[in-house]
Amino acid sequence: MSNDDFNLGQIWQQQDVAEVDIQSLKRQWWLMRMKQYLYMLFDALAVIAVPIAMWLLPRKLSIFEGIWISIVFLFVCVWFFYLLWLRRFSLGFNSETASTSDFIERVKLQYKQNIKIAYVNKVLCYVTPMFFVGYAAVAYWGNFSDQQELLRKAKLMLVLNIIFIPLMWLWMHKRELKFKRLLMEFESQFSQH
Amino acid sequence: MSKDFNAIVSEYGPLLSRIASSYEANPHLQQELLQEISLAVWQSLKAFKGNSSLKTYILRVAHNKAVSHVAYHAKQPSSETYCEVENSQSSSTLSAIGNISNSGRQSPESELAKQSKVSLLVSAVRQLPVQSRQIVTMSMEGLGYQEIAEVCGISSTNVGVILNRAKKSLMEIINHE
Repeated sequence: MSNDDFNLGQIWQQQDVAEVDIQSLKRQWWLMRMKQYLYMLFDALAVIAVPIAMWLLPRKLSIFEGIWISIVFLFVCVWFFYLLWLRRFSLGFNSETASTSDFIERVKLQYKQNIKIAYVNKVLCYVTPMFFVGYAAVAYWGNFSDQQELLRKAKLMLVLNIIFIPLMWLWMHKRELKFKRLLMEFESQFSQH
Repeated sequence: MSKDFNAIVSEYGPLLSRIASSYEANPHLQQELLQEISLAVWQSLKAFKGNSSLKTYILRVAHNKAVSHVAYHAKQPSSETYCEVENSQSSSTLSAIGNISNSGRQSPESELAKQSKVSLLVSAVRQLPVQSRQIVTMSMEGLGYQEIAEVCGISSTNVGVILNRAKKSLMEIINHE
């Protein structure tokens, strides 16, 4: 076929086109907004859960438990803002309207940050049991809690640590591997940029 | 949904569909991508400041959404292997020929030749690397070098070089078929 037979622009415009399903778009739009509101609600609940618990149960907590929960709350706050810092590129960037080169760099950066977020959450899996062990040890050696009560709490913490921490670690490990794979594939797709 | 968006969909819907077809061969995934692109355009309209033409702006949003789509579906099975592609193309060609024969405007042979050229071109465009594909489709949609450069974030000289190479590759692919 010769070049004369092929007026690219003209032929390109002649292809069959599909129609946009406006009703489906409306549903997607609504679902997307609901999901965003839910995420915001969960994020807010995660941060304010501890102060609410302390406010509702002040009489049931000993001073030691109050101090311990405050330390955990501070740690959660620092962690929350650190994650926010890692997500800063995706949060403060209007990715849809950037030039494609910028957009590709941002997508790569976002994958790298997601790998880091998964990694630091894996680290959190090692740190969390230390909080529980630290609490139990200080309460035991410092006589801050009734021994029977402490034993009951220690058993509960042990069960939580054995069930949830490995699950969380496995989930984060899978996410870390997934984003590493996605980054590698994305870089190979756009290596000519 | 604003009235504006409905007007934009009716004006630019075919353009968005052609962009989707340059990234996806499978009709179902193509429709899915078209919906994703349309949603992205709808969301981005409020950020449109009029610094470029609306068409350039929509193309920028559409291509960025398509890049995300490529990234997400990188390890999915190749869309070209789906049998629906062939079926869809054959059925659309046959129905087009039927319509033309009934209306008596063009001979079935010339319609078949036209459809064949379209299929060849679309398939060749999908084989190009993403950046070349993006540049060549924008050029076929009537954008100038400067506008394409703005969308891609590269210089217009670079656009010219890539476009010429892409057109050459397209002709090679088409002639090889």
